[in-house]
Amino acid sequence: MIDFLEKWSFFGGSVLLILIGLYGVITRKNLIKIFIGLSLMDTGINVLLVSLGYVEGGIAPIITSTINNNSYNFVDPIPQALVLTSIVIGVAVLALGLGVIIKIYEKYNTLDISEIRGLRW
Amino acid sequence: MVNLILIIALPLLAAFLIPLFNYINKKLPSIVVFLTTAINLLIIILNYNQIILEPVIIELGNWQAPFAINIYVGTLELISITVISIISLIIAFYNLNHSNFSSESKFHTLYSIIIAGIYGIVMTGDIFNLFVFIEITTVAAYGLTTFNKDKGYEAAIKYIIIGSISSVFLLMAIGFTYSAVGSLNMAVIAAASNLINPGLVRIISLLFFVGIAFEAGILPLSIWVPDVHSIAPSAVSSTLSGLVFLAGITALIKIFFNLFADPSLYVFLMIIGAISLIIGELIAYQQDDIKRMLAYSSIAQMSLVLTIISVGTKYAISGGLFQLFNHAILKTLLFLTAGLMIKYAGSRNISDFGGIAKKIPLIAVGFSVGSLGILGVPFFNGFVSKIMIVNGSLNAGEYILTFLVLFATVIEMAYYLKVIQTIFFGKISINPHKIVKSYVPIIVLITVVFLLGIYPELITKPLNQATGELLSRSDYISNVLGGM
Repeated sequence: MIDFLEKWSFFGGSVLLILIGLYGVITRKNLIKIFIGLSLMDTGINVLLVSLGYVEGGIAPIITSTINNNSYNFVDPIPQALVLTSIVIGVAVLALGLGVIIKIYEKYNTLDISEIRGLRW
Repeated sequence: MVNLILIIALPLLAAFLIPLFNYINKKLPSIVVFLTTAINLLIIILNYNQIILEPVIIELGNWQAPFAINIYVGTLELISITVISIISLIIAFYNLNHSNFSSESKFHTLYSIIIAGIYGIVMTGDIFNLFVFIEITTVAAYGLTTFNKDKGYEAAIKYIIIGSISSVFLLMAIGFTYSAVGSLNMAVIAAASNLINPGLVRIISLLFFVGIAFEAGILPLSIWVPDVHSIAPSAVSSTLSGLVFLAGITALIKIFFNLFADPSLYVFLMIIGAISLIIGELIAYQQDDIKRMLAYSSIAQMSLVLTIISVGTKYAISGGLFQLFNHAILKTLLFLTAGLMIKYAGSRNISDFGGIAKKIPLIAVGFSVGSLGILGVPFFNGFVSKIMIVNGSLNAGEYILTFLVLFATVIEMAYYLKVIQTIFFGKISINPHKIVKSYVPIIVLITVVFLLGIYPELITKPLNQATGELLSRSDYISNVLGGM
């Protein structure tokens, strides 16, 4: 059981986070809650990417004076670089989205998408 | 030879210098954007003859092939960037006179960024870079949508929500691909794709489809298209409909032909495309708002291109690609003229455009040329591509598809001819809001339409070469990896 959890918790947990986020985006009516869902999806995908590059017992892939050859067990650095880029993009989109939500709130005085005209799906 | 990376770098540089230029003179930003698009066209023309002989690969940072982030420009990419540069130049020229937005320099900054992103999507040879460029393009597009104070924010929020969900799926596809192959380079993935478990390949391709199809205007994911296209300023609608869709479809073609060439996926693409085609045409027929009609028509056209390309024979693919480039030119013309008519009549409803042709003849003629081109009337550029599409699907034995394409054309004819009839023969019922003038972009676009209609060899010869390159993946792999 513990073995199973150790092996699959990253993968299953991140997919679960994505699904929870997707459920929130689809079912919630409040714009802020929708964006919390989107943010959960972003976090889930970032965890998924990091866990894909995880190596059992690996160390950070940084070359120093003592750690200077390939015999050390490094974790894969590329997914981490991808996650950094993806976090930056996610934050930018979130900020833009919240900015637009402020403008919508000023116009309609509500955040409920079923009451906002011009937002019919 | 001029380094091709400049055509991505120049618009980005211009975008971030525009606030400075705006500080010097309010007129400068639009001129700077016009100049950068013109220089891009010049760079592509200077490189044209060399790329047509053999694909150009630029490896950034002087790393060798599998490790480098590379830019790959084959014939397909060459034709795409040529069309993109011509259209972006025309739209930039249109913006010189018509961008009376309250915050002009911001508009031009975002327009430069979106152009850089579109070039990037088409040319990149690295799937993570593809994701970054798609995000650059969409974030700029979110911003551009909000320039309409009327309903821009509502359309933008819809676009942001759907775009964020799609980008999660795209990132998931990239993550799975990386964990299966161990590289992000498209050529390495293509070389290794036969070794991956076929079930995983199908899942990855499906995720890629979900991630990119929202950018390419295929229906289940493109419910944002009609809102955003009809609400954005017309220069933005034509950029989104003409160029972003073109880039999205090019990226899908690269994923499904260069990366994972699995014939069982083509049947899936064909069915999705055919359903989207018919639904798009039927909804377009019911619209009274002219820009919504054009947006649904764009969805239908993109689905047509995707369907016909997934037939997979050489003739069908070149027909589909020809239609893709025709659509970019025609939709730019249609959205620009429709925007001018809306400005003149002060209304978006087709029924209010009665007899508008007598007041602004050139714009009405431009709209009619665009419509007839989409319908595929002889001597217009759409004619040759429609013939190639029908022929290609008949030769491949896909009779149902041929029937659906012709059926879609009939519906198209119904709603486009309705508009033409209204603007030429309808009762004059408008009191003009303002006088609109824009001769050069419309005349240039009409000339291009007739040029391609009368001399289709101009584009069919490179297109055949591009199709040959698409269908021979081993050449693509050895070009990038140097025969490893």
